[in-house]
Amino acid sequence: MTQHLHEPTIDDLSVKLCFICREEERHDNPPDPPPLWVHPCKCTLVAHESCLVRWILTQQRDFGRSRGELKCPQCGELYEFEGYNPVGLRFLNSVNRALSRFGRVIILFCAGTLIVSFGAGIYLTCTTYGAFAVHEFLGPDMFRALLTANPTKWPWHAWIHLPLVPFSLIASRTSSVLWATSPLVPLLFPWPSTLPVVAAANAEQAGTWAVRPPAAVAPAPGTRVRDVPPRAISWPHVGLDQQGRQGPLQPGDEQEGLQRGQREQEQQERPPQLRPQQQQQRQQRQQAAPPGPGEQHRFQLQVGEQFHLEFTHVLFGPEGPPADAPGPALVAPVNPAAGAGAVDNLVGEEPQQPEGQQEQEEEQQAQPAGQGQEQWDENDAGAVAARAIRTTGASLGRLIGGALAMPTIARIMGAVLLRISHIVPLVRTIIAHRPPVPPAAPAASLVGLWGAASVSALRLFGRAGANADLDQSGLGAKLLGGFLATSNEWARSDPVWWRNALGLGIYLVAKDGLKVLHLLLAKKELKERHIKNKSFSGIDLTQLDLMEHPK
Amino acid sequence: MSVVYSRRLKKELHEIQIEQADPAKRAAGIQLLQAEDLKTWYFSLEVLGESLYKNEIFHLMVRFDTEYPFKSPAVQFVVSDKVKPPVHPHVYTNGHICASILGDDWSPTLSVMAICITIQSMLASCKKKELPEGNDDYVRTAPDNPKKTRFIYHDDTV
Repeated sequence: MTQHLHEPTIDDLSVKLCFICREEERHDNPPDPPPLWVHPCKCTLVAHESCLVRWILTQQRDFGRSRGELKCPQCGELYEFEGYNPVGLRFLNSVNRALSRFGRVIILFCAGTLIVSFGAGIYLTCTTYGAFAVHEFLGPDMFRALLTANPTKWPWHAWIHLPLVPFSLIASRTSSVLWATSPLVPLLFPWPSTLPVVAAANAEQAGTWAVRPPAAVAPAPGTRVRDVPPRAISWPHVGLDQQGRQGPLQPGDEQEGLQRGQREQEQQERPPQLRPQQQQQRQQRQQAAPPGPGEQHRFQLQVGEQFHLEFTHVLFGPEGPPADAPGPALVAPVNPAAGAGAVDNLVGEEPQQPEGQQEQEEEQQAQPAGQGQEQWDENDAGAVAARAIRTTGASLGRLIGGALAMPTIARIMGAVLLRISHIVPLVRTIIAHRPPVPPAAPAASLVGLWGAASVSALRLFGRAGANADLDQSGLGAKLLGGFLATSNEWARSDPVWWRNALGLGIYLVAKDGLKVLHLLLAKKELKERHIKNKSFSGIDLTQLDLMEHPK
Repeated sequence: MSVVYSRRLKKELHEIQIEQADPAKRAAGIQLLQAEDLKTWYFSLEVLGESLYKNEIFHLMVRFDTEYPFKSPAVQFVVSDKVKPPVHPHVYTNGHICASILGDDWSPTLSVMAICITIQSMLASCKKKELPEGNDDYVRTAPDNPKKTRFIYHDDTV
């Protein structure tokens, strides 16, 4: 054995085995051309330089290992590089990495800016609409007094209340009591007092408003602001439920009521849930229109407590309405030829209580045997859901449009009332019209014309109560005036908001009345619909199975 | 370079076949079932001695790509009517194996046999037969090739 006096190098190995490609190279039989070998670490592993370089490249590229992590797999010795590694390259590499980190921060920042600007745009739009709504509802004089067209002069709470106006208007069209009265909160409550509004107190008031029976008129002592007498709000709400669509949809009918039966999400969930129940109940039912273009819709009338009772009594016989269960159902067909418009399709729901049964029998007699039922049963849940979604697409637009148009409608109706008041003195008293007062006029007394107007209004609507109500209302007016004295504008100026609110209420009642009329007419049409008989002329008589002695 | 890849695999195959033929050298419990090409090989694996997997036979499928040995092969248990993967905290029911040597810890010093032996010892040292966490979710969404999954290697004690 040869003694090696010097440290052996890679060339001293008699057989070299590359641990990467497992190629052997014998010392005395090198391939042509001989590849470069390297012994990069402290153990016995050797490799072709090209193999090792490729291995290191793979590690760097696919595992992101930096130079400090490249080491021998067996002994852990760090691989060291020699050769071309100028300062310039190292510097540029580190700059590159720093820039990449910076780039991540930038992209987060951009995303945040995008979101914030989007939100700011929405906020500005809502605020603008809120200012517009206040202008419409309270009249231009009050608008100038409270807000002015110059946003820099707005009180701080305007920036909170105004953007809320459109949302609360839309939310008012739900059936939830709290949401239904929510437009009042941003629209009216803050303005009469320049003091900051306590939101909790207002919410409380909003809750008490809707359930106040018509007889109670006097404001509770300590009430902060009472801009609209309760009767106007607790006037029977008539709204429409949209539940359980059956056929392909067309834009839903008028939904402009103070309440909606359901929110859209519930609507979408409902059709699949209702289906099993509907199938059972509808085994005998018939859809009036023939299959194909004949989509039948059902709708449901959900009314406030008082009105609900009357309605059921008139149409279906005495039935106690459950507290919040759906009311009686009318069945009305879709009239495809009616075209889009206010008197369009009607949508409804299968009643889930026994009182629906008696109506079912009516329908059964009125309509021919059930082919459409089978067709409907065959529809899969997917189609039902698709219809539901299409419904809410169009009906959502109507809901929102109706909600956002309410201030304008109020203004128009208020103007109409004003016109009438010029002719009819009683109306003039009701709406408590006064000539507009320039803002510079000195403050009036506490119970001035405003107090008188409120007394007259309260007297008119407080008729249901006892005579003692009058004293209460006088007291209430005084209290009211006391609070309003904090803001002279309200005490003196023409109560535009009052006639606007009245007008809006009248409009809503009229609209809902029209809707009920429509439903009644449609129901009648459905019941009395007959299919016209045509003669058998032109048919080959042998095809018909005629009796032997035809008459 | 496919040259490296094919040469090395041929060598490995040659060595394995020699080992398999010689009962003295053959690794106990590991048997080459099929290696007709340089793309997919099948092994049968058995854990000998006292273990939770006594008398259970598993099949391993090893798939190579042209980057071998710079990249690890795709190794997974075969799922078929005749064989099922073992119930092990690192083995999913679709046969995918969570082992560091198949991912981050792979190096060209390892070989196919080394992988089989490692997996065999992984099974032998298992204390409790259980499925990995999130097995159902993974199996539902897993790709066909386990190398496409980014395994997180934790719990090396099992």
